[in-house]
Amino acid sequence: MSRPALQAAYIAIENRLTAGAEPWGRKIRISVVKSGTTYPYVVQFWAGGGSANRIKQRDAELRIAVKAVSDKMADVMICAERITELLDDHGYQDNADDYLSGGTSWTILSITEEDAFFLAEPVSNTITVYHVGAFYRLFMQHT
Amino acid sequence: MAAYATNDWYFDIDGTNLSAYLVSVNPSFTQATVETTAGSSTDHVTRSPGLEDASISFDIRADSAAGYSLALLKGSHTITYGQQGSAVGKPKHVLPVILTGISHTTQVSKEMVVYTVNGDAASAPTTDMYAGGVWA
Repeated sequence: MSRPALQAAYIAIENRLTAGAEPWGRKIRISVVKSGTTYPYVVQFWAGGGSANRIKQRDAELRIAVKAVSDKMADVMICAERITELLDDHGYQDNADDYLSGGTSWTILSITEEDAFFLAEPVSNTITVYHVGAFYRLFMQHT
Repeated sequence: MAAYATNDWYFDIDGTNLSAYLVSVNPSFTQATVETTAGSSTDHVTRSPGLEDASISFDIRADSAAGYSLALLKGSHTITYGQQGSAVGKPKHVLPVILTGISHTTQVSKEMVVYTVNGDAASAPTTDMYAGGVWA
């Protein structure tokens, strides 16, 4: 059964970010993170887009935000840079030797990092949680 | 009846079906006129039909699957176009063309690569949608 483009993108990003030994381990979440999850972790969430209608076949242009979260700024910066290394310019047409697989339903043609963001969230008098990441634009074609 | 507003077209060059790659197409027809005004008391211009002409321009996307040869976008060819597909009774246009221009752009911003192609008629359409030509 065919997957929606957004599901294929979420799975592709999670697979990519958990393929190796990374600081966040396997803690990749979609939109919602359970209380008590240890730092650092990664959150991805839809930030715009849908069907692109640029070609006759089904296609999609999605904007997905991916951020690292930690209570240590140095850690979160390292994680954010690593996310960039793993995702930016790793669509099939960006890098045919090393690209994110969209599964059997979709080909992820290009992934482009766009705006970055930084948020410092004071959760107590002594703890600040940092959110650092970027928006990624994925252009996808149904296979 | 309903206005036609979809992209279920048919488009081939020399029999190679490129419908899936087409982004837009614009087949055009022109009719020249010859002024035939005569007489000393004439108060209005009169004209007669002159030569007809036809051309076509289209945008077709590049595709990494190499679904067609770029050689099809240069030289002399026959283009067959069906505005509403290739069902019997729907408009059909078959035009021998000399392709006169082709261009494309690649951009660092990763915009989709599209070839823009222009062509002039080499002769009259063998099936002319503007004269009632349809798929048989």
